[in-house]
Amino acid sequence: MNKKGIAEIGMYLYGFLILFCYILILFLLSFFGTSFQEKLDAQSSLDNNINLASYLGSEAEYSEVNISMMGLILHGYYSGDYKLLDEKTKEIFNPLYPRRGCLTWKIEINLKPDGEELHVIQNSKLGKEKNPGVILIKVPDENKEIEVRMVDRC
Amino acid sequence: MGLRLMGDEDAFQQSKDTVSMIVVIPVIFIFIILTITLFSRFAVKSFDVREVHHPLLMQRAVLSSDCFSDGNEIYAEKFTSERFENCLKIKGRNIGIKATLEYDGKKKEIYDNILMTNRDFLCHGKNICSDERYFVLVNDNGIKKGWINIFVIELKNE
Repeated sequence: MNKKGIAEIGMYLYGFLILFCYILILFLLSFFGTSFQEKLDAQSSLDNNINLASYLGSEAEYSEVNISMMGLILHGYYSGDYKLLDEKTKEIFNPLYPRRGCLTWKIEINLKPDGEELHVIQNSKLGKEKNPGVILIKVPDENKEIEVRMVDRC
Repeated sequence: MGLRLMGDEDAFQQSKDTVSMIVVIPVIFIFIILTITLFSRFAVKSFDVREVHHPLLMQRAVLSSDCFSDGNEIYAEKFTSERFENCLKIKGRNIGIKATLEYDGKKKEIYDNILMTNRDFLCHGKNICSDERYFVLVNDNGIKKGWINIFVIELKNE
């Protein structure tokens, strides 16, 4: 075999080695690579919106008068007193949990557009916040809204 | 034009080309097929809709005016199995739903496809079961606080 033939053998070996590596990687990726799978989490947030809507419409007795939770939130905004709201909120949401693998819940009451945090109701600070449900309440006579945000703590 | 016999060197060159074609052509095909296979795996996305289907059924049960709600509150007198069966229209499918409404110390249970609803023991393998609980307002001679629990079981055909 002349020198040219020897050089060609090296080239063929190099080419086949690259091809072999490529095919091996493709096989490994095809059989063991994870396929893309997406979960649609929006549904869980909608569940929390359903709970929030019912919560805001439910009534509590305050000074011998029935007042909605939405009214209690506005009362808290003006007076700074969220004691009854805390108590009634826990009465409503504690029986719902644990659910969907989430141990507890958290409700944040924020002022928009300022972004000021008015109040937080929660049982525990442990767990990752998931599935936010949000409802906005217009503040009468002010160009502001109160954001009521509910999240699962999982 | 005169004919020339193939020399040893030409014959060697031709046989070498033939061997390399025999090897290279199938390799190219394998290369193309594997590339297409791999890229089709990445290009086609699979969506896990099982976790969406059941919540949709549950949310329809809780919110739809065809079932027992007006979108805001659940009417206790509408909370019946007959109405439930007519609103979700899952008849003939391998799905069963049980809804339990608790309010004011009362507890009501209704079923859509009753044959399927006591099959909790089948909640494994390819069969899918979901359980969700909502806080709701119940209209029963006044608005009351209530909780509705919805359990869905879906058996998968093999």
